Amino acid sequence: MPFQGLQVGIFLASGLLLMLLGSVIFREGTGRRLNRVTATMLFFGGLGALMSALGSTLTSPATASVLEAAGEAPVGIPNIREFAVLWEFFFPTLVLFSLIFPREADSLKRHPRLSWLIYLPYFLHLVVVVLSLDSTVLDISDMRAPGGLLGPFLAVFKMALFFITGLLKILISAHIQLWAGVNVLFVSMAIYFLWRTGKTLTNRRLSMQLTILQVGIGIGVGLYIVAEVVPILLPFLQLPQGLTALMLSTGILTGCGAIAWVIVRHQFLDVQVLAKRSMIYSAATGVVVGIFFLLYTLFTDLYQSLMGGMETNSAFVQIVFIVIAVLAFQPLRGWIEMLVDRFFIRDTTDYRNILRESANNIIGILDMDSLMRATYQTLEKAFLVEEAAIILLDRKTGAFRFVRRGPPPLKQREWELKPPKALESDDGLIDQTPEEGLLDARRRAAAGPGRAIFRLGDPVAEALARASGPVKFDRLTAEIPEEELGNRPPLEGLNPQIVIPLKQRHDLVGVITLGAKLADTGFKSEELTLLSVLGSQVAIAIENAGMHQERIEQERIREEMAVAREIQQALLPIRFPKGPGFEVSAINLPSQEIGGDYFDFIRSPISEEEPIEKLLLVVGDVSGKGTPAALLMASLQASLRAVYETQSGLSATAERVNSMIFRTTAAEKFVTLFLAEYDVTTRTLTYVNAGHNFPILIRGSGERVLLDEGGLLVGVVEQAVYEEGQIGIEPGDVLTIYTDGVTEAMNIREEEFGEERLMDVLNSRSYLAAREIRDEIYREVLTHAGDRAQSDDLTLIVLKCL
Amino acid sequence: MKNQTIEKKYRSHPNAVVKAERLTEKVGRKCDVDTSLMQDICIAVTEAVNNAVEHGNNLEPDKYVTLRFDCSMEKLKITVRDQGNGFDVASVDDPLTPENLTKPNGRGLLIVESLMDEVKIVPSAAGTVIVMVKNLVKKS
Amino acid sequence: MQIKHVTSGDVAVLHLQGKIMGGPDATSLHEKLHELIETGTRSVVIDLKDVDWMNSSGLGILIGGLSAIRKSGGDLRLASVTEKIEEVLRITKLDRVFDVYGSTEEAVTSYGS
Repeated sequence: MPFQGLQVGIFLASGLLLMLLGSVIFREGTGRRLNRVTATMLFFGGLGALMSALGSTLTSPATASVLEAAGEAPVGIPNIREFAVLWEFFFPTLVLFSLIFPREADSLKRHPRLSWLIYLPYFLHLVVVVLSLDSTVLDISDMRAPGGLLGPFLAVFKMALFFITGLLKILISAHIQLWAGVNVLFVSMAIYFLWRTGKTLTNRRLSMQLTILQVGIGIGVGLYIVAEVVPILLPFLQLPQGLTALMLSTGILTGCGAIAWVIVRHQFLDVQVLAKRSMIYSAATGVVVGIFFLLYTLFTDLYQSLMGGMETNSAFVQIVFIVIAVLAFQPLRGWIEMLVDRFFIRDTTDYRNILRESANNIIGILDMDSLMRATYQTLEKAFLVEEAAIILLDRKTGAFRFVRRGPPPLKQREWELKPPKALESDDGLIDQTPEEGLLDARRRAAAGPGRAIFRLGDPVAEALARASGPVKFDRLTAEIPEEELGNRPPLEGLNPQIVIPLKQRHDLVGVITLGAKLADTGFKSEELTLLSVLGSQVAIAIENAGMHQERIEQERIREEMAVAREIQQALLPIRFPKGPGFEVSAINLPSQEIGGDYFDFIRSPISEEEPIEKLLLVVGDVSGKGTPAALLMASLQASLRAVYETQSGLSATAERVNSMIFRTTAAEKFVTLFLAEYDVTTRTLTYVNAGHNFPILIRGSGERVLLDEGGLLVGVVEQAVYEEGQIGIEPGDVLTIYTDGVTEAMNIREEEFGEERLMDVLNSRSYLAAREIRDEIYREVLTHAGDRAQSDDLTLIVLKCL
Repeated sequence: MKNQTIEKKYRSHPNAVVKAERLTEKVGRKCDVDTSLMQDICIAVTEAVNNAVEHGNNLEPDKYVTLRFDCSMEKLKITVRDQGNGFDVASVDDPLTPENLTKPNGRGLLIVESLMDEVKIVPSAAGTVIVMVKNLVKKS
Repeated sequence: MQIKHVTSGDVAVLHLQGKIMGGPDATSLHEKLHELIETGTRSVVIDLKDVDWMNSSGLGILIGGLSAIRKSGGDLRLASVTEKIEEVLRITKLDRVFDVYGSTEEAVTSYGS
């Protein structure tokens, strides 16, 4: 059976490896219970693998000779399966492990003695097995019967004793036979506990670890059941002993292997890379040694058959073989180690690699949301911490707010009060604190995008800005004098251990906070260095993303403005009405941002063939800018035209339009509106001024009249009353209706054009024609404003009576 | 866009307060004022403008109310000036006494003083000036 | 500012929306309240859920309405007061004068008891 050599090699090495891993973990943190329990469990597991492997292979002559060659006498171990009781302590340790991984269960915290209770059955089992092993304890057959009076009594006693020991022996053998069931029960308990913990996990890495653990242990126990329990329950189904042993050791190895895998591959206990490397090397060496044994047995078999079954000089063979092995396997071992290095040590779950890789990827992300998500996921992957948050500066307000905040990996009670689904982002992170999540959306909107954690100028912000890299939070707060802290602790609501300032040059733009590690091991200086690199990369990425977002925003505004401009221009009249006895001229100059200036002429009769009898002049200024203002303007024009044609009288028209605008717009929107109806035949002007700048009528005589009759702004209240004003018009009178853009046109010294300047132009130029007056005013405004870009639309209508 | 001065004149009409509130919102956005402070500022501005239009200028359309904002990194200074005959601060009844508690008027000044960080009233024969300051950055 | 008038049994509920800053909107609220009192309404609830803030004009109208309606044996109660209004009520000590309820329903049912 040459393959048994390989089997022995692998199991031997694996068992030793598990024990080695246990010792490393133990050394890493002797003070921590999780480390102690894990170490103990691995130790027993490794012992189990060792014993099982040895026990199953001792019968093989080939391996026996190997052991003989190694200087071990196989006769020294009579029946290794009897020692199984020792490694069976693995099972209660596994249960204990499942109760404290990844954090101690509440029940265990409350009753610290519970762990001893878990071990109790196994201690009893140990006692029983030891008793049954030492046959002299129960063997009373050589007890001599003393003579005398006590003789018959003793004989009865002996009989009774014999009976009891017989019964005990039966019980013990039954106990030993059935003990496997207890083991299965314990493993099931462990799997159940792990499953229960798994349900409350939110951290994907931890869940993955738990799944691997459960599957590994599950496979292990499955094999164990087949090997140990099935033959006892179904005596007719006896498996060959070799197969049983193989299944047993494979089972133990899968179970323990899963644990080891989780530890090494998933960084569960932050075992240092050196320890990790050495363990993987040992494993590789184990494989090599296994191959060595395999080849050795093959070689001796071959050699013996060549020698015709003669007793040969085995020492010679061994020396030759070892020389060959050293020559051949040294390079092989180096090659294996290189492979191991490539695939395991540089493995993607190592936090160094995660941070290094992410730092490179992060810098290329231009979308702020994705950037924050990637950064957060990197932290989540690289460190198992109780909490992590990214807080960024809102430049507009100087407030630092959460952009990402992860719940602790283990849900606690308050976290189960989940905010409504909509508040949860797609990757399951809860961006708001639970309190914020439970607030109703309206109030949250009123409060702005989340509450400020701190502000620029706060002592915390200053301390962070001074820090040159990641710092321990308590060291940071120690710098702040107590009187500056105020009554609220800095970063209230968070429990950070490390804070990483994000700085662009010298300005603080944000901070990443990391809570304590789940394993509570503290941050090493190497980790801080890597976090510092990550921090500076994220800061650069934030700057890039910000610039990118700005560009997109500018583009969006530009497009929106183009749409608004189109709407506005489509609504404004292109041709000005000409009538007997009057002339009209108008101009509209939209500002860059497109305000909501509106002007219109409505003639009656409508037909252009007939001469104008009445002309309605309309000027309005819709609040707001851009598309919303343009749309409100369109709605104003539509309602005005519809109402004017059906209602009699300007005040009724204004009242109707007011109600319509009020109902169709948001509460804070309003319109200033001036309506003037010029009756050509009677030469009277009837008007309503709804909150608009007072139009100016300059008489031919030089007298000045402001048209101020009217009422409230349009759209502020549902029902408004508007007074009509009426004024007779003489030839030579000039009416100028204008919007804010005229009087508020600003020059480079922030001086407005103002009403006075407008009056001056009108007083000195009213003899000109309407179009010329318009041009004159416009020219003056432009001269005043110079190169300064104007923020308001400019609209001007000039009506001159002839 | 900090460090700005914005000034606007309104004729004395109830409409002025709506326009003034609108302007205040605009200034708040232009000067990057934290939204959480804007409600206080808007309340104070509307109080002052209402007072200037109704009591200072007595709703006379030829009299103006001037509203001025001076914005810096640290604070927003708001000046409201009317063209009335001046007003005596001491003549305002304490709105918190039991007999005044249910009167409809007289709370404006109290509210302004509570919401703003500094308030100064300078009455004169040519009109009253009220200067209100809101700190935009928490004092460290 | 917008005013929506809903009747719930004998109780008139006014849902206000926007900001109450005085000027035009103050007049319309004042008129609406007095119209209610004149038509014999004795139980009024003002729902302020959608009012971001109000200044002394708003308070003046509410206190005026309260005085008038209490004289005629009725009452005016406030519901769903937002943070800023609560602060203004506290500053002016009017929180001791008005009965304030968490929701319109509570305010309406308070008249039944």
